Amino acid sequence: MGRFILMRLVGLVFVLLVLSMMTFGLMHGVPGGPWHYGQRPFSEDQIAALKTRYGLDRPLWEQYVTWLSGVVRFDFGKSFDHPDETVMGLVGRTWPVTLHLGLMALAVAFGIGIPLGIIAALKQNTWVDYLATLLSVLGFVTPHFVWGIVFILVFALALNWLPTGGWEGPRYWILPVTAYALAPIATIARYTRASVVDAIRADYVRTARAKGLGERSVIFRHVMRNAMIPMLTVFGPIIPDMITGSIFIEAIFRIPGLGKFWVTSTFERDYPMIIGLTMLWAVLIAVTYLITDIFYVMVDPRVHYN
Amino acid sequence: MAMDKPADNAVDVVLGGEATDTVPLRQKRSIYRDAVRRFARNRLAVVGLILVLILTTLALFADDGIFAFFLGREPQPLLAHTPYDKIFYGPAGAFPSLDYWMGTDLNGRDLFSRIIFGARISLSIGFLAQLIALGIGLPLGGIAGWKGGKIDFFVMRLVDVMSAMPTLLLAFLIMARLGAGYWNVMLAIAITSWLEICRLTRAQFLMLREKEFIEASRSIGVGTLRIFRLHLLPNALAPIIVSVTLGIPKAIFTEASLSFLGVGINPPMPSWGQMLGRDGIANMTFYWHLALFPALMIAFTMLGFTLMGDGLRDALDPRMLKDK
Repeated sequence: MGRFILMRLVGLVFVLLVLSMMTFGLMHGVPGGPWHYGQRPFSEDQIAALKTRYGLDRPLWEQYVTWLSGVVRFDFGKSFDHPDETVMGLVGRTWPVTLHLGLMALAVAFGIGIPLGIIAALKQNTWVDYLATLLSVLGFVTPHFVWGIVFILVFALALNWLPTGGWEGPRYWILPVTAYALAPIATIARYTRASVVDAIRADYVRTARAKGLGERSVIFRHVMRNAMIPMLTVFGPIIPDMITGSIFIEAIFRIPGLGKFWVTSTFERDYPMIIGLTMLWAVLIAVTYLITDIFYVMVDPRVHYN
Repeated sequence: MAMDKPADNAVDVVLGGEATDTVPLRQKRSIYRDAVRRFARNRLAVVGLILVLILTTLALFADDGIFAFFLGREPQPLLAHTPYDKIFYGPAGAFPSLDYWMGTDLNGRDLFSRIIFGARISLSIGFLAQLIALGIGLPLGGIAGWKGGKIDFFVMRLVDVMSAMPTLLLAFLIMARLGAGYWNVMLAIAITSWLEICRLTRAQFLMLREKEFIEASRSIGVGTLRIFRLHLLPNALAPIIVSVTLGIPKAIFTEASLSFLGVGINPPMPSWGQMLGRDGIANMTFYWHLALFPALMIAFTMLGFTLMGDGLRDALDPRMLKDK
């Protein structure tokens, strides 16, 4: 097991290297540059001067090596779009807000989604199942930016119960967290139901019932444990997805988080930010999959990595 | 041939007159015919199927493009009232009426017609993008899960590298490189969405290859391809089908997000996401129809595919045979 984890960490370094090269090539291959899309366009000379200053006139491999030698010292360079801030500083300033929002939404999503899915599966093809399915479908079928707008219209503007946006205290959290959590609730409930329905028909469940185990014991010790394998595959990636924010939610509710940079950095051709964010995401996702794979072994002794 | 033997024996027994009523002559049915029956009995699934069929009809017959192609003439609007880019000078932003069933947009185009053509754009992108994704993800994930070892290692590192790329950012970079447009959106979505299918297939195969019935098949010399077809695929299919069916609305959602942010479908070609993003949400409090109808269409599409996917999942599960 220890060797497996070590191998994966070595693999992560490899992934990060390959990925950073790919991203580097891809983002520099995209037409336009960081100074082409401003309000007042720069002249050709000014752009050339800026390129020299930021080293963009060097060959690509040289830029990459420069970037890489910075990364080893945890220096991801300065954001082109926010020239007074480093990439690390910018992420460090905005991510905590997004993290806060994401973790709250995740807690809500798992807290509601998993019980909803289990209940639906246990009462399969009854009105309880249909109701749970419809509830989760409702969360899934409507894009969260629509939910966000509807919530603001109803609860902030019409009823005046909650603020329209901002990020100043618990009252400000309710609407964005709810809007953000609806889609993962649906996904979690759906896959929980699918996995539990799968597991519940297995022979060992019949055996467990036949030998007189209580229903609670059957569900938690036999059904859930076996249902968890396919569930883990789907649930793992939800976590990094949620804690890195959404441009839609953060724009609609005016939350000063990290979410918007995933999109604006590409618009602005903010190269250090693009590749910095990609690395952040890569580390998060790699750690998630590593933990997922470790969970596989813990949950199912038949799974082995050799 | 081996599969036919029990049935032949049963017939012999019956003809021989021994134990006529204790040996039932079970009609041979494929699992797919059973699946159709189970699907038809599931009301929600049928509702989903009907929604999908309606949307597909809208998409196919928005204009008579299919026939017009063979007749060699310009397509005429069929279910839609006008071509999607026809501008009526005057009633811009008109509310729904008998003339314009869903009103007109801010450029004075019939919203109903644009919604119907939007079905064609959204559905085809969702469906084709998932088909491409399935074509990449299923073989790769299957081989990785079954073979394990080096192949698994390399496939999973590829998946790692690809999924280590933030989806929206990658889609954006691809779109920025290729330029906005129909085929490019489809390609960008396919490139970003085959990973889940691959991972799911691998996890299923990884679990299945340890099962006793696979070991038994191998021990009596069943070929790998036959094991794939008869044991692995049917057993792994249910979650993959759920994933693909749910992937279609996801792809439609990604298309909507890209179009919403201005790098997806280029106007005047309509897409629901683009209609929502450009005029819909900004004018929601007054021109409510501009936001309501595209949002409803996205919701109905997702509802249809989701219910259908769930129904397919329950119907296709061969283990349900036991419950009969």
